[in-house]
Amino acid sequence: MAEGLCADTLPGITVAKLGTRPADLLDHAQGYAVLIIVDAVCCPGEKPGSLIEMDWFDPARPALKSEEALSTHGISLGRQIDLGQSLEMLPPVVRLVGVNIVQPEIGRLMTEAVRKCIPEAVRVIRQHAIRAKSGTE
Amino acid sequence: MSNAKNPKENRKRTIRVGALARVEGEGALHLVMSGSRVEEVRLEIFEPPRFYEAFLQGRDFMEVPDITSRICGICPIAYQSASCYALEKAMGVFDQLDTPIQKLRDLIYCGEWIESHVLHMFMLHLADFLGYESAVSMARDHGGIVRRALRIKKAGNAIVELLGGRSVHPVGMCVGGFYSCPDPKDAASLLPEIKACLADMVDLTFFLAQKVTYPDFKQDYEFVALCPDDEYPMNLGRIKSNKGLDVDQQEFGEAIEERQVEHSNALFSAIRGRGAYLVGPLARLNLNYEKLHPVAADLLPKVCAAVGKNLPWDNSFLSLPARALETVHALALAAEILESYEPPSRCRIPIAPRAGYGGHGTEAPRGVCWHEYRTENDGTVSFARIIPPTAQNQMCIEQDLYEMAKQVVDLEDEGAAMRCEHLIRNYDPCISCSVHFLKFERTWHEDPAKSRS
Repeated sequence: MAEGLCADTLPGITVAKLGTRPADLLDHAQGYAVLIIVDAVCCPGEKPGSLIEMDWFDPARPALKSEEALSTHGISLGRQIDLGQSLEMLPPVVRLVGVNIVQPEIGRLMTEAVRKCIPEAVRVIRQHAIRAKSGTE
Repeated sequence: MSNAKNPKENRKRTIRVGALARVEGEGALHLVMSGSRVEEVRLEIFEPPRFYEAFLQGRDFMEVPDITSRICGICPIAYQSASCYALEKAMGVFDQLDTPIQKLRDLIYCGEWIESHVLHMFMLHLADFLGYESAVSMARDHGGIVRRALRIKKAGNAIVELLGGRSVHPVGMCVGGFYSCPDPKDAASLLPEIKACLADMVDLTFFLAQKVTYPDFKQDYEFVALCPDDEYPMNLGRIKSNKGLDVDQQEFGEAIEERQVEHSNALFSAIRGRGAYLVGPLARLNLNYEKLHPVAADLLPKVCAAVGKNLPWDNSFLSLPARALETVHALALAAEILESYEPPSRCRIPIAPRAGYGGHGTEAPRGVCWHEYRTENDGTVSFARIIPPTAQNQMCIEQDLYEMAKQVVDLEDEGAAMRCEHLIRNYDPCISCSVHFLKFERTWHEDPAKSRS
């Protein structure tokens, strides 16, 4: 997905790959108007490969299954966002764009259903980015 | 207090932390006490085996550092550098490594120490000492401290990225040196931030020394670390201890023995004929304090005065100020290397594959990370053995837990478990790549023997 976003760079947009280190999120989050987290998500009831979008700070957004899920040293993305918010180190808008998966397991390859969703996810992220750039996000 | 007045004195007590929090990987704590007597202590590592040594066999020697770096997302440089040096020995080029290449290896290691130490101190461990559940809750009261720590951690990542191409699973280092060397302009552009972070880290070290209360705890450790003649240990040096171990790098694998135990998927290491030993910042500092960078050396007596204990520090809780001093050392050393940086005449030594053997350890943030390889004529790896620091510390952790269990006998289970978890985090254990939330179970059993008495 990062490769797709980098293929046609939009001005003012930075793509950062955190790999297995959500603890590095705050290295990249400062100085921007919008932060878009792109990740695999587990949404019970949704089909694998379906696109999930939400405003992180929307009180009505679904709760995460576990704040500690798949993190190194107990520092998950959710925890890092909490930390960033507490320290005022986050942009005012934080969105999550995720692709639904069935089960996160180390070592399993991406399924075809998830892979097929990538171009659409890239398109949606770019739209958000363009809106953020024009101040309408 | 008689047993009649305190019914818990008659009970066998099992404290179990099903999944340790704020450590790297999957581990559990199992503690059984009968009244005030500690019956059983186990640090259980149930993370599945990852078989790295097995799937390195048959690979070309040049592939090894990029594979071993994947062992750890936090300290990939340790695994890269240990495998590079061991394979450089196997290929017969170890003695040809130029000073500029060695300096760049020190520089990238400084980046890893800074990033890893700061992550552990301020995101994982400090909350224990200050009485918070996590860094997030700690940040509400100590936002300035956490912000400064995050800035320093970012600087560490920037150093790794400068030489490794990226901060997560870097790819710049190779057997023989580096694939490419940094542009002097890029190196120079990092310098002001590193210097600013150094000043910040000196302040934070004073904070940790003066504002944190360290529990009384003492053990008769055998400290093991690299001990170079003329520098604080990172990449090179004989491996020594405070109890007489003094071996060449290649001999370390013979000086220790690895044991399989039922309750851990990681091998337990022990000094052959003696037993447990401790690796990591406390061991490095106790054995090499006189070689700290002058900026850190200047701080040392002030830190000792503030924590009320001169070296050697035989209290594993003091690993926190030891890490702080090492972070100051790493920032000061990084600034020095960056300031004098000129691109080397060559980034790596040309290597002709050959059959060979090499063993080498480097100082991962958590302690000696030792690798051993045999290669065939075409450079294919025929044997690999990796001894990570946390495996070496397991026996010490259990011995510490045994002592700690005696100290927390009067605490309720939850408090006792928290103190034991805190102690485990002194070691910054790096079990593997994923962590679960704390799952705490407790059971009480009548102890028939005690009940009859």
